[in-house]
Amino acid sequence: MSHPYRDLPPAAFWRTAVSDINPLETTDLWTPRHDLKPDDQVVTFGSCFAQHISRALRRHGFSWLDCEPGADFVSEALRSRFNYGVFSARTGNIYSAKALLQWVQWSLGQATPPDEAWERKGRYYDPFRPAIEPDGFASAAEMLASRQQTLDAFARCIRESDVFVFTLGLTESWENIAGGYTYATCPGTNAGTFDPDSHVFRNYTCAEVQDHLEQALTLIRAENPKVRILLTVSPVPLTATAAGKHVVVSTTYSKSVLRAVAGAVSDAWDHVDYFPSYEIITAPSFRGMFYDPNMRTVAGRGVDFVMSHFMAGVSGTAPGTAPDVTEGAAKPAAPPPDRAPAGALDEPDDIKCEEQILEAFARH
Amino acid sequence: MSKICILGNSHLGALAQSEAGAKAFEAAGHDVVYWGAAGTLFPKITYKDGRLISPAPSRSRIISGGRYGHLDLDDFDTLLVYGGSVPLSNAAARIAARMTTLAPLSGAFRTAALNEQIALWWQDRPAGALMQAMIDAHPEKRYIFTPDPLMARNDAYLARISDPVLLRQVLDAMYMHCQTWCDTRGIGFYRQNEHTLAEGRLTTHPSFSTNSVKMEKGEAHPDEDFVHMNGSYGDVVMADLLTLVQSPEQAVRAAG
Repeated sequence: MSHPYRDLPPAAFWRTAVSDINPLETTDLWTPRHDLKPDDQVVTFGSCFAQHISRALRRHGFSWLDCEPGADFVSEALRSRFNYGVFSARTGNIYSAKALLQWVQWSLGQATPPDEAWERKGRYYDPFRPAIEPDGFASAAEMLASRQQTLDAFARCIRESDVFVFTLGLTESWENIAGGYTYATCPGTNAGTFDPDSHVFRNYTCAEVQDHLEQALTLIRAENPKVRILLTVSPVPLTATAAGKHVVVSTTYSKSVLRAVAGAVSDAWDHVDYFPSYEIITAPSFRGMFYDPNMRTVAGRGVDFVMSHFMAGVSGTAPGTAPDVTEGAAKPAAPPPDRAPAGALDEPDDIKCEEQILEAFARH
Repeated sequence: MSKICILGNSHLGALAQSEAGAKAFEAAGHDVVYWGAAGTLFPKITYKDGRLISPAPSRSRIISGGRYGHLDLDDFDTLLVYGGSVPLSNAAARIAARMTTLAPLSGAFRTAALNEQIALWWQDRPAGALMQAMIDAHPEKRYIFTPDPLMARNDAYLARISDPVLLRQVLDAMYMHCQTWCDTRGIGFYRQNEHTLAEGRLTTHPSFSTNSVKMEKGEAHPDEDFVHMNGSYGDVVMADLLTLVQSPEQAVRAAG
């Protein structure tokens, strides 16, 4: 008797793909929908975990586009401290689909960004990238000028990229009630002042996240019809939740929504692909082995494992066998920089994550 | 009588030309010996077993009036590193040119970038390593350091300067870096006397550069030499250095 399961490959069956093998020898986790050529211009944005993708691309000789390199003569350590070279423009982490939509709209002139500035001890912070300057800006005007540079760079990323990688991180967010815009972190944590009359908590639904994401991708494609989109979901659980539930429950909600949206969008849109970084870390077959002891942050071996599958997918090789060139510093949109190899900054601890500030507010 | 060695590179010629300076030191009870190596030889001076080893001992002997090919540090109470291949003018111009490209970026980043550039520049200066070796081996001695004088005012140099205010900021930051480095090691620091600077404080007044002479042979430098200073400049520096040497404790800020 013939049926659809008869000729499926081993990867389609739990026993042959999972139970009968060493989990570290799992293969065929991802087959890219589109080829990624070494000279394709790739930009990366999103939550903390997105930073691993840009590093892996650089390390393996792919063209990661840096549209806001800062300065080509300073050290990688200094550039990193000021968040240059972390993402393809100096946006800091973009945790939610709504935040991505804002960056797209603002950079393309579809909406005007608020001139709100957060102040702390005489220094000024950008509500949409509050940790971008380690000690804040000298003035609100300097902060706004810097943001405009980033918006210009972000627009160039949209226009000049062949592949736009975005890692979805959170559904929970804090919004300005009057303006309807979302912040990168809760006001009053990194900087600024929390005002219950002005600020409201949102935990976006599946429909809202999908709407935000599709709006953003529509604008990106309208500006650059050739760009392909690669979505991922961060496997890093929430640092804290304001949803009134246990953080484990909130994490499951958040990641489930993001994973469902990423799947729905990538299934429906031909130019969108999904890379399963979330599954590679969180699947039960991996027994949580890739997390640090806090069971939140992903250990270096986990990052390596995820990235080996990413590179295996794009290079068509077995995981862990893609060549490591360790010379591919970012391809700058500006004159070529003279800087240290990307590998010099490849320690997982270097990952920038504004959300972690919330941990400081735990009472116990 | 205390014994002082003023060691350095070709800039020693200005001090050696200062008769007033020599007399003042002698009158104050100090026996001064000049020693060093000019140009590219200075960075090749090394420390070993209580001595500074010259890459060209015969020439170093000429500079010291026939007294030292290599320098026995135990013979001196005070070691004054003068110049020491720490030329500020060209390095400052190069750093300032780089800094102009950062104008749109935040002040905090520009400051951090400037400090990093200066730290990298200083890291490559042989005088720093030499002084560190001496002070590690002979912490009981007194040390004083001063960078090379700023280049004398000239059109070619000024043509390279697009932002004089920025250049001045860079120079101030370089002096501050040197001074901080010295302070943390108990080394006295001498910054070029303001009265020797030309208008704008970017260069040395040209009157201090005319008729400068070479350290070893006493020959005049060519007219287009804006790097070396003359005996008048030596008079100013020697007077300042004497003040510094006579101060009861290590000077913590520039005498100039």
